[in-house]
Amino acid sequence: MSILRPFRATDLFQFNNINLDIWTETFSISFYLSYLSRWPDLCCTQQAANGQLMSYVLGKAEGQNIEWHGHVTALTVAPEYRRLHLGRNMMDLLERISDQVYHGFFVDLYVRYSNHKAIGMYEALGYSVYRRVQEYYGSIGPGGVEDEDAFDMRKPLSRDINRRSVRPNGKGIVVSAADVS
Amino acid sequence: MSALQERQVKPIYGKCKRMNALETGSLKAALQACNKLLKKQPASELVKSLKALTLARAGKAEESSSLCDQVLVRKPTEDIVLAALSHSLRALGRHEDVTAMYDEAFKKQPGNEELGAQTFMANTKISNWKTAQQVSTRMHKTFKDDRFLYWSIMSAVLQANDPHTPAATRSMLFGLSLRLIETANTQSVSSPDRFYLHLSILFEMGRLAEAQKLLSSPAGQRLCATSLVIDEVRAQVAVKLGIWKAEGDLARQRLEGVDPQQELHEEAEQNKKDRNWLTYLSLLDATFRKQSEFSLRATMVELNRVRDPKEVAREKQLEDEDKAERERVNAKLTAQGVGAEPDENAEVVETLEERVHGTHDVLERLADTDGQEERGSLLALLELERRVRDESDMTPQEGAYVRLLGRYLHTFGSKPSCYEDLRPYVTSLAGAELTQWRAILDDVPVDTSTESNLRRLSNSCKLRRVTLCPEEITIESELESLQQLIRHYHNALPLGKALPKTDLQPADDLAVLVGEVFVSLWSISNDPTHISNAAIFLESALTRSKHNYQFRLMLIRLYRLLGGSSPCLALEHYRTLNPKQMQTDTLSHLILSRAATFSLAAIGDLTMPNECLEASQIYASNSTETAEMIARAFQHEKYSQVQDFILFEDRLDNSLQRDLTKMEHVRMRLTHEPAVPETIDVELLEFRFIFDRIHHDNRDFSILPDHQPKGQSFDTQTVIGGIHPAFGWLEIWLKIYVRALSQASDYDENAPDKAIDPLYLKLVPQIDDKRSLEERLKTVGSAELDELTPDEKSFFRYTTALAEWLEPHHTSARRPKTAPTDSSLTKSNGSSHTSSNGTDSAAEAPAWKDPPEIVSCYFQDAVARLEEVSDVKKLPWESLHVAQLAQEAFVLFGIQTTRFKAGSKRKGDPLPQALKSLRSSALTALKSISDILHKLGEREGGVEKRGSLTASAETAISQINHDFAFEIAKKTTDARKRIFDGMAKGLIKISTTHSA
Repeated sequence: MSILRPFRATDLFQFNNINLDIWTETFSISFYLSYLSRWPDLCCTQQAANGQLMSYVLGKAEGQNIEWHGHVTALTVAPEYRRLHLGRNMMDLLERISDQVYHGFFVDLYVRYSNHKAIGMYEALGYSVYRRVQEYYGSIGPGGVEDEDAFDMRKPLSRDINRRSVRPNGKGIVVSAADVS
Repeated sequence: MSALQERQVKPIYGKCKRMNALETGSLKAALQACNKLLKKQPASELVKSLKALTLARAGKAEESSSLCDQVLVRKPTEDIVLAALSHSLRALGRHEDVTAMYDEAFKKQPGNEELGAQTFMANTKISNWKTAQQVSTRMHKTFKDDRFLYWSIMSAVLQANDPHTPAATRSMLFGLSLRLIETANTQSVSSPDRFYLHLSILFEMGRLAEAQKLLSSPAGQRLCATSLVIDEVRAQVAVKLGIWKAEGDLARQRLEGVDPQQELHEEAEQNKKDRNWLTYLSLLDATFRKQSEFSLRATMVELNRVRDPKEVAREKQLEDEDKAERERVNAKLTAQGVGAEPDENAEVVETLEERVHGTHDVLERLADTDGQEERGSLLALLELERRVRDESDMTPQEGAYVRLLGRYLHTFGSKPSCYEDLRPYVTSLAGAELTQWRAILDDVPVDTSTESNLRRLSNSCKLRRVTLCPEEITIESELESLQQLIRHYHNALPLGKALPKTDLQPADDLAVLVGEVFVSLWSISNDPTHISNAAIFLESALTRSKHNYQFRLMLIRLYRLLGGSSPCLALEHYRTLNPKQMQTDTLSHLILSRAATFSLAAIGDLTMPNECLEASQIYASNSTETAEMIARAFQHEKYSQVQDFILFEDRLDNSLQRDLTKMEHVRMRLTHEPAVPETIDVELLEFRFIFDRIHHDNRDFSILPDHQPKGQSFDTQTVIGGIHPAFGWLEIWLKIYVRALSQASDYDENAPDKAIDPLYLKLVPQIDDKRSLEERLKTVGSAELDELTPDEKSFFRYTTALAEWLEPHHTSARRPKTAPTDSSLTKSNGSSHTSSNGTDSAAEAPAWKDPPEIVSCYFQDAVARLEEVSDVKKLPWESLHVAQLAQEAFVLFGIQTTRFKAGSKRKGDPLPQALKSLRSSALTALKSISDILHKLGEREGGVEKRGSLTASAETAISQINHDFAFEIAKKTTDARKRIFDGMAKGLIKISTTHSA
């Protein structure tokens, strides 16, 4: 239960309860506004019945040809609103829009390979590891690990009839960070 | 650009950012390279424009500006030259010149689409909608691309929405936009954002039935299903039109998982049940045939925003204009025989009771199937009951409301959000209902053995606390809950032992409550040890949960009260929170509100002034980045975003915190630097500019904990002075400074431009106040005064009396002077500022009056006041507050009387003597204040205090470690000693530097 609505520029004035949490980074104005100026339908937020922001997701559509897909750039939930399936609701929406509006082949996201909780959650939502990206995260994360690897996790959409975005040995396929950016 | 040129300028402005000197900041290298090239090609527009950019970045405004002019007269058209010039001109604040330059270029090459687009974008960046509209219309005619037509429509809408546009023009522009969008080759339904634009025009024109028709077309329905923005508009239109039945049916179908608007092409999708709270609200609104203020206020944060009185006045004015215009248009339409919209709401009449029963059954069924999975259906049942109970004539079922509260607590009590969900529903309980509710809470087991039981317990503690009435709160009752909460907290700690350090501890919520009870105890007992106990307790909780930001927020507040702000303790916690970017606007109040109180700038410690500068960077980013993004939203045709971005830009540009920070900075700066004429003039101009602004209060106070009993709030209890400085405080301080600085200033408007922050020049004065500045400066409303502490009020009375007393002397002594009126800055109210008839009256002395008592006694009174607040029962901030205001009063006195220092040419003028005696009595008082502060430093920062703070914490907090409590007590007392001593020294320093 929550209000699911588009993320708006003015939400930057009231996202502190989410962004003061150490796992969430606060970026420049341009960062948020550049997402909104291109993919507003892939950016949404959930708000509690009392008006507080609970979570938000920022996504984009990118890639060439069969790599055309929806990408989750940031997904975050305020500490007091965790365990309420908010992440799942927003991912549902993002997948639906990537599928029906952008006609992408899949949705993908990057996650720190030590972040077992998140990996578990995404697996439960139907994502699987497509490849491992070496030293994708250059800065030290909250876990204190430097130059951490990322898992690129993907979930096929209806257009990916051959399920090319799923491969059983994804964790073993290692690429360098330079290959993906 | 030719290949040769490209090679030549590459080191300065190449595509590779790492390589070029401008981007890497090696301005010296860039400048050398430019000069070298200019020797070979002295006429090169490109090199000149790059040199101009380099100079602008290096802060050499004048040189850069004249170089820009040299290129501009030649009306350049080359891409890179235009780009470099536009960067330079923007940095110089010459925004209008950027658009003029592009306009000229586009005129020279009307077939150049890229140039047209650049011209359009340049106009959007400075909100020049009228020209933007003209340019895009021209582009549409030339290049036949519908994109440009939509640009022109959006620009027309924006021009219409500009508050400076007269009502008649506004309605003409909407009419034009509608005609254009209806006849466009590409229909608006081709994209959600074009459709949004179309709907918003109809909405603005009040043509809701047409909007509804478009929305219910197959294409419209498809867009509703995939675009949240469009679906939002759909709901708004339906509410405005009162299409309750259809809306209610749609909401029910969505909740039950049969949405006719959704294309269900996948089996998995079929079980998707909408659980959006807005859908529930729409079902409830339909049931009652009206929206509820309660839910609207809860869900639309915008409605609760405290607004600048100036903004309210402006909106009222606009509304009146629009109303008159609407009446005029309607009268015309009626005359033409265009009838009102037909009533399409002829529906089978169901009674309210029947509808409520129906909705109740639906929600019961949903709540049953959802179980513990989803909170929405049960919360909606509660909201349904609340509306029956509070907002209808129906007789509510006895006890039903509290039973639902109990059911919700039972079902979702172990979710952390349960408190937030129920809080609005329990605070109104009274009498029998309250007793029943407490009985339910009593049944919650005191069990901290599992995480979910602990959550249940924390939620019940919070939900009980917020229903307590003032008469139920006594020192004894609070001490009892304190002990209970501390016990629960310690019992619960083992639960989180195994968690990684980055996780929050499940027991944290209880620690927050402990902190709040301490604060409440202080507010009813006036015993300041409760505040230091709270700090010691929260510091210890922080060692167990080092990333809990609520603890840090609370500690920042507590340390400010304890007088340990600058530069340690409070600031340390603030820096660990690390507010960045936007957050420096919304959160810097934590550390910068009344920051002058804790500033040691007088003895050269610039920590706090620097903090002000750092927090102000976001406003510079806003001016450049947001304008760019508005242009980008046009480029990608995301019209739904354009208005939001503009709103965002405005809220940040005219942020209240921005100018509160600016004011604090000046208050501190003047204790550190001598007030030379340049400083005085520049600050005066800026303040006069700020004085005309309509401000927005973006400060976020909602992040502070809020579990206090009725009539208390942690926020107001712990803010310095018990009240936030806001619109009124700023207004008064601006009045004080504008009056004082104008008396000191001999601003000559014919002198070359004084340096003023170019970013400010982008803004225009926003209010249309017909009164003269002088009159506005002298009028003070009681609402403004309410935002001042008692000591600030005395300070204000003193500065007002001083300014009034000195005014005739300034007028008489001043050389011919014109008010600092820069017509581009202050159009309407600059001219009548100060009379410029100084020439004739210079020789004539004004009739003599002794200084008013309020002026001659101020400093002595401050000493007495300091003695009063330095009592052990008071918190240290109060002493600092009194001392800082005395210091500020002396600084202003110095600024306002410098003119008379040189001695009077008139024989027997009593003024110099009177000032001398005022100064010397002020100096004596400052010396006494300094002595008292030193003593306070000894008392509040000494070994004895440290011991007593430790002992008191050990008594109040069971299981607190002695060494830990001692360590925090030592930190606190050390910080206090430092600030008291620093302030004492500062006063002496000011005494010498400002009276030399």
